Amino acid sequence: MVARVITNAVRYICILFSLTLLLAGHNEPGGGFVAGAMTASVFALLYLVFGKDYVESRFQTDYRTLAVSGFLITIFFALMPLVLGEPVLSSILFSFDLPQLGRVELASAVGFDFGIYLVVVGSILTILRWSAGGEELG
Amino acid sequence: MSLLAALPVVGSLTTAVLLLVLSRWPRIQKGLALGSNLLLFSIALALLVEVREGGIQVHHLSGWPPPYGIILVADLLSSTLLTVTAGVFLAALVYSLGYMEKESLRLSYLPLFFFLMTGVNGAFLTGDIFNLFVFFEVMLLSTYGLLITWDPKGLISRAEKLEATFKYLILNIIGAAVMLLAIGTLYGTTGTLNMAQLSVRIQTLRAAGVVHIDLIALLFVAVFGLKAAAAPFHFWLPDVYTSAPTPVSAILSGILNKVGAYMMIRLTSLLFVGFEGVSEVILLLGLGTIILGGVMAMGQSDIKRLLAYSSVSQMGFLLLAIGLASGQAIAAAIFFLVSHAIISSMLFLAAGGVTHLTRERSIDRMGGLAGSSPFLAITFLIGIMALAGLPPLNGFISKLLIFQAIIDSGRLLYVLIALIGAFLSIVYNFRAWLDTFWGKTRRTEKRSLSLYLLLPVGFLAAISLLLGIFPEPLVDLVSQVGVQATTPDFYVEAVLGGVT
Amino acid sequence: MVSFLALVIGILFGVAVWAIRHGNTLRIVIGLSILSNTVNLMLIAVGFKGEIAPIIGLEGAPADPLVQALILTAIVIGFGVTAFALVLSYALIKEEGSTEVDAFRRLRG
Repeated sequence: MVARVITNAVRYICILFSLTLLLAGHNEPGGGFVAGAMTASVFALLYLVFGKDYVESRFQTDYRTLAVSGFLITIFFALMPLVLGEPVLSSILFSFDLPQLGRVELASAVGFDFGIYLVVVGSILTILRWSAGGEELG
Repeated sequence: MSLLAALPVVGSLTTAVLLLVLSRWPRIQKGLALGSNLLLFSIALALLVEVREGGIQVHHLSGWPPPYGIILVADLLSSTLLTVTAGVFLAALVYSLGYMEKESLRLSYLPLFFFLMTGVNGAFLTGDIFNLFVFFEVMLLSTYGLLITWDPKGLISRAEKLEATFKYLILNIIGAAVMLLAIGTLYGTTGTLNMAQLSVRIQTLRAAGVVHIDLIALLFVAVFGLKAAAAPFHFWLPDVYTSAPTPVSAILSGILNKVGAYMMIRLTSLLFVGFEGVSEVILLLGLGTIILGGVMAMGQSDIKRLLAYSSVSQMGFLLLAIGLASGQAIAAAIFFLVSHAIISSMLFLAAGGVTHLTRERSIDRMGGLAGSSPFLAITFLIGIMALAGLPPLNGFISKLLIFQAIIDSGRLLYVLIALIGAFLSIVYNFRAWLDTFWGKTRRTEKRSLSLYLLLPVGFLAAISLLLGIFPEPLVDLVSQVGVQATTPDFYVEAVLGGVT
Repeated sequence: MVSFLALVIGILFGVAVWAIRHGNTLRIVIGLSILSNTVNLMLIAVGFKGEIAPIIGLEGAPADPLVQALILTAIVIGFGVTAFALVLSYALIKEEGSTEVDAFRRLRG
């Protein structure tokens, strides 16, 4: 009972905080791995407290697909600088002016981090389900 | 700055990810795997040509110049090994298309295969010692995955496979901890992770009389000895090679062993140049490995286990040449490395064919295969003659070069021990061949091998024969490699360009 | 501070070796995990130069930021390897019906 109430209260805060970490990653403490681990831990908590059926009735996502698409995004942002004539893995800074909001800067490192985030969430949850559900290896 | 130096790593990584995405379309997946492996082979060749003509190629990842950023360095040594890697992987890939079960091939095998290639290529190319650790782990993680792939043709029980993988896993986690310890201590002592800068600073510190650098070098020898399966660290190898699916065993003995040996070359000829104590330790490890591997191979009856121990014994010859650390010895080591990579992977692939034909792993219960499968008999004969070091094969020339290097260094006792090892290798190899292919014909089943299984074996055997009859181009190449690898100034100059 | 770290590293290392020596599959995995974290702690000790956070422009001797990047990478790798080790030991236990290493008799030398 206590665990359920706390989990309910905490999960949105945790996910929001992990997103903050994700977006801050390229020039402040944080980053894709930390954010991904945090989001995955929220899911782990849900699995523990509410059980497998509850979680999987709400999120039908195939975690493997999540990890694979994360990989694709990561590779895309790692190779993108090649097209622009920069070395592999360079971070490219786009900056442009938006009305009302002022100057906005976007670094390609954020995209890379987002890919890592998806990979981490996807693979941790795949492993969790593997060991929890007793699916066969290999 | 060169783009070509980054392509082997980037290319194989991209392929791995695309293969994951394409797992719903098996035909396209197979085509992509083959195509990109061919492409990677030609990239490696192009890199070799480029390095031979234009000098050492350096790629600064994410644009940070060394010593601040991570760099990929392609010198002659690494690009030669990259070419061999791509070749052996190509053979193993074609073989696995005919050998592995469709489901596991599609879901995990092919992507992991290219993740493994990423790790190996990265380990050969990187110029940063911590990055080397990362690529080692990429390599090992994908190896664990490949080891437990379901493999009904290998006649191995699931429990045995899991136990061998667990053993390998524990040893390699401990190895990784030791390597990290060594890297940390090295960084604390020298204040850099860049291999070129390390090479310079270690010499300065040694001249200043810092004692514990020798100990760090020994820690590294232990770690790379574990990877190369040198004598006291060899005990994981037979179990792992025996329980792995055949094409994976071929890669393990052909390439992954050699990554350890490659780093030993870097240790004695780039990082810790002129450390006689360290070289002496490597020499002794080599001698022990030759004898132990040879003696253990004599008593084996499982065909893959016999080949695994013979692979241990051959690694001893390689370590012997590396321990000598002269330009001539390193050249001999690289010739040996290249030819053993080809021969041992070919033998493992052929042994897989034999197991598939006879439904049997023990050579005591085989016999008379020469009649039903002359192709396998001939290629296997080429393989064991090359391993035993008989002319006219590449194995003969590689052993000749190594013996020459030992004699020139004046260590006659070592020549004697190595000769005993070479003699043992003739005995156990021919025992395996005779027991398998001659004698009374036991249970023959009417089944034939598909072209997928025969083609790679024939390809590798042909290369082995070609290198034996026309060794001059490779001998030229390896003597250049030997000169470049044993002169750290070239590497340092290319990487740092005057900054120290 | 550094001598305190050294003490902790020593104790953790001892615990890890004890756990690995003990012939229980899960305890081995836990021991290996402690071992890799011990090495990370040692890396922290390598980079420890003073109690100032590593930011450019501060006076004094800040801690080495590079070491922290190394540790982060090592943690990520250790995490992946530990996850695999857990899954593998789970499969192994199910296959053998025992968690004790002594029950695994198929591989000898």
